[in-house]
Amino acid sequence: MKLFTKYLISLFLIIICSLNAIGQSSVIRGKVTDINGSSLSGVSILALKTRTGSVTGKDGTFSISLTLPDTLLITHTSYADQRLSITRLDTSWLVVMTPNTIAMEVVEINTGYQRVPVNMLNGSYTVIDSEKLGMSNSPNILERLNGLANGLTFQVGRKNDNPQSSTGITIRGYSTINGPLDPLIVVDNFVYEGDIENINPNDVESVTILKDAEATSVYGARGGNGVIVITLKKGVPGPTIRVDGTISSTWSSKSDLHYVPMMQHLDYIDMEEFLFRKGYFTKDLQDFSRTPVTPIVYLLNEREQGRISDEEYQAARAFYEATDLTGDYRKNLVSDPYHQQVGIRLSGGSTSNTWSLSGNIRNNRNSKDSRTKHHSFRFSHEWTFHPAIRIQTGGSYSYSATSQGGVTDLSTLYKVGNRQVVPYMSLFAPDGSDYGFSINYSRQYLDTVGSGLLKDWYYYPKKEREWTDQRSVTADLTAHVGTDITVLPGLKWTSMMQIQRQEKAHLTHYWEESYFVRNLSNQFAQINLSNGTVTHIVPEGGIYNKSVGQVYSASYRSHLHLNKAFFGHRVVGMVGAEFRSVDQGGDAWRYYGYKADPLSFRSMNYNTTYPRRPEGSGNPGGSPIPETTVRNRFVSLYGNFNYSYQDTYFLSGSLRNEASNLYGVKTNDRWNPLWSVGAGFDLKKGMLSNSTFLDMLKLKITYGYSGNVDLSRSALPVAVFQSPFNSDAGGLSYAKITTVNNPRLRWEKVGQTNYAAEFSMFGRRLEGSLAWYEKRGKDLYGPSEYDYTNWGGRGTVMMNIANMSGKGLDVQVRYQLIQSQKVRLATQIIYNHNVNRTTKYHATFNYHPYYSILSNAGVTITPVEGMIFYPIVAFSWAGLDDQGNPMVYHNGQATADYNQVIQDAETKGSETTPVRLIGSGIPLHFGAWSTDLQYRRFRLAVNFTYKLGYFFPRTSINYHALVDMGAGHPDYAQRWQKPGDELRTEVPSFVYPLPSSRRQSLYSSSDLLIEKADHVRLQYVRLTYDISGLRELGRGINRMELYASASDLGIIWRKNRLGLDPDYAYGEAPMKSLSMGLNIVF
Amino acid sequence: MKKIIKSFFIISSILMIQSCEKFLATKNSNKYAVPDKLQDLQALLDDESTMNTRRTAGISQILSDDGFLSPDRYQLVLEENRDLYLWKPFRSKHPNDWSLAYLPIYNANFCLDMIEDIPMTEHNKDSWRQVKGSAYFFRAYYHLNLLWAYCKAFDSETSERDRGIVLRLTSDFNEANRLSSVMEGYQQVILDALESARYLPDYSVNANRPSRAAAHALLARTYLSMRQYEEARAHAEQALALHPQLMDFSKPGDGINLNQTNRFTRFTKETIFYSSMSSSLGINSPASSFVDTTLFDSYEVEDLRKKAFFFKVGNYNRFYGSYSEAIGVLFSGLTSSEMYLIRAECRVRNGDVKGGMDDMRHLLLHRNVTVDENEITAIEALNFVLEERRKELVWRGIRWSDIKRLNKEGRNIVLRRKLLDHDVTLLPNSDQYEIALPEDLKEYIIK
Repeated sequence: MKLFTKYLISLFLIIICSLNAIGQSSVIRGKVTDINGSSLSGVSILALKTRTGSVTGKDGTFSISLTLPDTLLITHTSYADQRLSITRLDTSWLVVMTPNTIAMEVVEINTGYQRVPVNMLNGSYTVIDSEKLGMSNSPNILERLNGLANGLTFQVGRKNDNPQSSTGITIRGYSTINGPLDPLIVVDNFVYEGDIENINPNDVESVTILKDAEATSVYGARGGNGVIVITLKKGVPGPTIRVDGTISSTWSSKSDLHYVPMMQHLDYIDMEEFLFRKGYFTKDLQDFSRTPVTPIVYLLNEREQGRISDEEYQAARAFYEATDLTGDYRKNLVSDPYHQQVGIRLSGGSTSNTWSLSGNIRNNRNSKDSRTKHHSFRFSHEWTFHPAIRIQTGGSYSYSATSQGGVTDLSTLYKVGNRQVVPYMSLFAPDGSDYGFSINYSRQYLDTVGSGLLKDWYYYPKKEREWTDQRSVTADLTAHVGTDITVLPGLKWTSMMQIQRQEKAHLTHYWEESYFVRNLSNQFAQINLSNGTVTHIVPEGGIYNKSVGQVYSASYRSHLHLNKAFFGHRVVGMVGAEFRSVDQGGDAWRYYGYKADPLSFRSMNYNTTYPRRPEGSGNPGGSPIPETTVRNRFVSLYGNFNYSYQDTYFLSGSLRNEASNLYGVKTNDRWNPLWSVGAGFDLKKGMLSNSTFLDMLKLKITYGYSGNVDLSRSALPVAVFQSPFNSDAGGLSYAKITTVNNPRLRWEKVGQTNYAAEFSMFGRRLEGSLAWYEKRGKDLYGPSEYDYTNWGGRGTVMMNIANMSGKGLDVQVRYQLIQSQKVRLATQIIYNHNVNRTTKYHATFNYHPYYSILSNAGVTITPVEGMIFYPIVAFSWAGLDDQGNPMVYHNGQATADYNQVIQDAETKGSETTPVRLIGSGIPLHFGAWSTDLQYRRFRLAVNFTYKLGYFFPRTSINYHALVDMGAGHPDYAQRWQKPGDELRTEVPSFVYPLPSSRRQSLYSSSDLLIEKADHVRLQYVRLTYDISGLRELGRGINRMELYASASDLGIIWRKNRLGLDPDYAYGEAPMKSLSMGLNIVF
Repeated sequence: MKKIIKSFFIISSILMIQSCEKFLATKNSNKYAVPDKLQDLQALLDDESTMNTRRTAGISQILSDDGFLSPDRYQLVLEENRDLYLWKPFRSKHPNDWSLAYLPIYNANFCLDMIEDIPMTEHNKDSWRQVKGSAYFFRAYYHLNLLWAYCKAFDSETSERDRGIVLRLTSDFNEANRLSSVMEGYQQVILDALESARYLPDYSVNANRPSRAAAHALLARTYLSMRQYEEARAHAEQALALHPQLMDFSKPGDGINLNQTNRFTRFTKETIFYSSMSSSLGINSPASSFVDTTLFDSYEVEDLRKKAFFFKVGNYNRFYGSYSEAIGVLFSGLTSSEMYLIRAECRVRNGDVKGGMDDMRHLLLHRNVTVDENEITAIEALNFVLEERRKELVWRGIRWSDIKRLNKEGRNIVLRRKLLDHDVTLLPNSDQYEIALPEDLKEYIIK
């Protein structure tokens, strides 16, 4: 601690000293060359503090007078800007300029473990710098990668059951079927497990995406899906403190919410009247039934029972024909989302000391009026206190608080009992008052139960907003310290340690008036009918639920790093070890009779069982629950090397062995070795050195493999232990086997070969990269049917059943069309092709493999031998017959014989399956096109993304869903109703009582409902105005820019003619948003 | 300086590798565990949602003549599921009553396999015996349940050839399954049940856990369905010795409330062992089917069961008398009333008419029905007991096995379904009494 205090004090002293340094005017001389040592002329040199300027001559030399200390800004259009801190006069300065290209912007690639000179890497990677990341205005750094990152795509709505499949991002497609799908995220050298929203995109210096085996195998099993390395901004040495300020506001449009397919009101009411006449609702309307029924069914029953007249019924019906719940909901419960942010970053220091300090405040509101305040502070410092010893420290603190009222989902309001979408629901009753929704029980029951002695048992969405306060708070503290010790020239020993502590709390206060409290109170209210008294088991007052959770993680890493050059040879390598531990835990509890001000609460008896209304018995619950403590431990040993000869021939390799304490894995199996090798050849330096137009051409190849572990790999079954919550059932603690033991399970293995070429030509105006890769996955887990007599818990179990192959092409080309003093025009095209195929699938299936895909068209990977991932199959639609029955082609004939068709589709080994493959459910071709135009002080950037070569199923009327679950579809209006209709419509007739569900599947699983999904989306447009150097701004400001940008502007071209958004055919698409902001540098 | 750094590095690497195994030995989560300790095994058997609730075969109830579907309701049943109701070959896939029963059987086998490695000591004796006995009990209970649902009645002449079920006796996931005969099935059930009676304590903490009374009750049930009446009587007697108490339907204090929707609670005074049946396809649920009208009419007016078990809806009645937590959860467990009925039947069959009628009088007294003490013949007495058995054990999934058993004795019970346009009948001892195994298991099970 003492040491730490000393360190802090000296740190402050250094900062203060550097601020007050006083110097004298001197002349500095130097020379500028490119990386090959050739002199560069016409390079402009600017002394930032002294404000003097110079240009290099033909021999590349320059001289400039300045006041010590100062920083030189060295710029040239074809080369990356360089800053050179001048503290001494005694040397002649040599500046090596690096080309200003996509791959070359960063001289060294940060792999998360080390910085490797870019030309020594044989693998494929993409670097996106802060400028490009600033183009989009999403508060989520990962979302900003959309349209910028080569090889990365967002698979909307495609997830598997694995918990590590939440981002929807895939890098180079898939390498597993049921394993984790998320790429690994690394922030400043360490694996990041926190909430990605805690990372402020403005703090990010660059994002590197590692794609092939060379880079990923060093990350072990978790690197198999690619690695996203996020590097945060560090201090920049300079004579004065640099201040970066940013302020921005984003406004989004309200979602139109019309994505739930809904039947027309009139059709729905007619249908309910029809079903009512047929006696369909009789079971729900019986006296003992408490199932909520829809308003129309309720009224129909009231009329039948003679409680209301036909006129009253007709009047109510007329009201329901004209309701608009979505409109009411938008008007009363939806807010305009916005996002605001203010940030400031200070940085500075000398060459031996650099530091950076930033603070950021963000406010946002979402459409459900959830308001979030987010504060974050970050600090980093690097101190070289001895030529051989460098110490880095840093830390960050972020705090976010979200508060929200009780705004319910729209889909919940459309639901009545088991009727999923009742289109004519309304927030208001016919008389204009707030309509009480009967959520759990029927209206008949709610109106009569308790003889008026209970609390109102209805749900009022508008008022509920005020009656519930939900708050969630997250605080995240990270600190790291690292040392670099030069043991021998070229040999460094690096040690790093990082700790992170995240605390989360969810607080929900249900007011006494809220539905939650009324519902619970009524369930346990004990009525004594003889004297009309009520005993409330649930104490009067509100209910306050509280849950807290903590995550504590610590990582320690130590490695030796070699960087040595001798006689044209150069070796960069490392060997080291890493330890990581993550501990999680939490608690949850509840206060009854809660009032915030003046504070009061009441105690509850958790041990007694009370009679419960409407049936059974129990306890209101809420006793404190300690949550599961999870402790994960990881150890890994790793090493790699990159070797070059004459900067022309390259070799590389890596090896990693890792272990964890995952459950059930036997000690011997805990270690999992992974490796990769690579080679490269620079043609320009080799055989094509005479070429005049070519600046660089490098060919590279890597091969290596990674793996995937699954918890179910266990010698014994793993049981989950639970505490009783239902005292009725005996009140004993119990355990459940959730995963059955299968000793034959092996780890998944995925090998990847990567062939890549990188080029640069015409004075670096045309640059790009091209990579072809092949993945081969072996022993992939997959659900397999089995003899469930052995266990019975599930219909399928995980087995090593599949092999896969993945192939793809990543192309990125950047061309500087115009490069003049006033105008710069550059364009970049990314093209990715990726296809994954199941090559082997050795599981027993009772059905034809196509049949098993039929029902989940394109939504799951569904491994079938020889078939692509996410296949879409369908029947060939043949129209309707003259009775309105769906027909499909089978054996060359249009037939409506659904029993025969389905039976032939089911039958294993059937030669004449009526099911045919349509195509992929995920894009096979995708990418982006962006253009950047600079004219004087204006800059316009536009980005389009495209996804091609895939299909999506659209929804239509499903009569089984309509009758059994009350979920309709507008296509109902188009249904076949009388002979002859088959000529104008494709929607089958409605037959009641419902015929076999097979009739429906002929229609629902036909290719009529499969649409082409190809589309182009306008991702963002951004206009920037650079005000730097305007005299009115005063001398203190170095740079200042104003910008306006629009994001998520929607689809501009699509192949389907129905105007559907293929990515969001079933849900809410991201809303259009507009941002305005100001960036300023002092 | 260099030397210090070097040696520091070497020492720290050694320390690192040494602490590695310790670091990795940390338990991953306190929620999960490989269940290898006695208390873990008990916890598996205490998981009532796996071992007791909605587990026994609901198809036994659908196939029986306790209830019927109204024509309207019948129309709502999916075409492919109507086959079951009409005793036609029924094609079922996972999940079904078969998979539901083999999950508790797996848990039982797992406990039996694991307990092999846990020595019984003076210290753990009670819990060790509880686990071992319970595991045998559950295995026997669910095997018997499947035999009743899927197979023809036991017949000493044909059962060696009649198709039985799979007898799962191991938790080894990779061991293949073979169909056994009905004879082998019943033999295994008796073996396991006798074994469980050896280990189980006389009483258990609640009726979710088996007890020795439950083991004898299960044996009484098994022998009765095998028509081995002397053994059935003996075991019913032993069960009753441990659990003689009955609920008096006229005393609210006994846990019955005729004014509530739910007339009974989950564990009644009569419950020896609790289990409830699956709500197979919804056809057996009180919300969908009505009580057979002849059956309903057979209850006397003063018989409190008429009020306790049924609820009038329109022209018909629904069954509301489940000994469970909710009307929709249909009780199928063991009760003392069933034991009185078994003993009475066996006594009468074995010539002890008076003893049998005494049992009946005692039982019916608790239902507010008085039986006069007139001399009656053995045949009259048997008919009386069987009629009361039907009335008492209504909607518990027992009737299906009774029909099969009684038809073996020439009672000639013909089942009939009336549909709008035609009638369907099921003739005694027909091959249709053998229910097909789930379709998706055909590939795996060795015949």
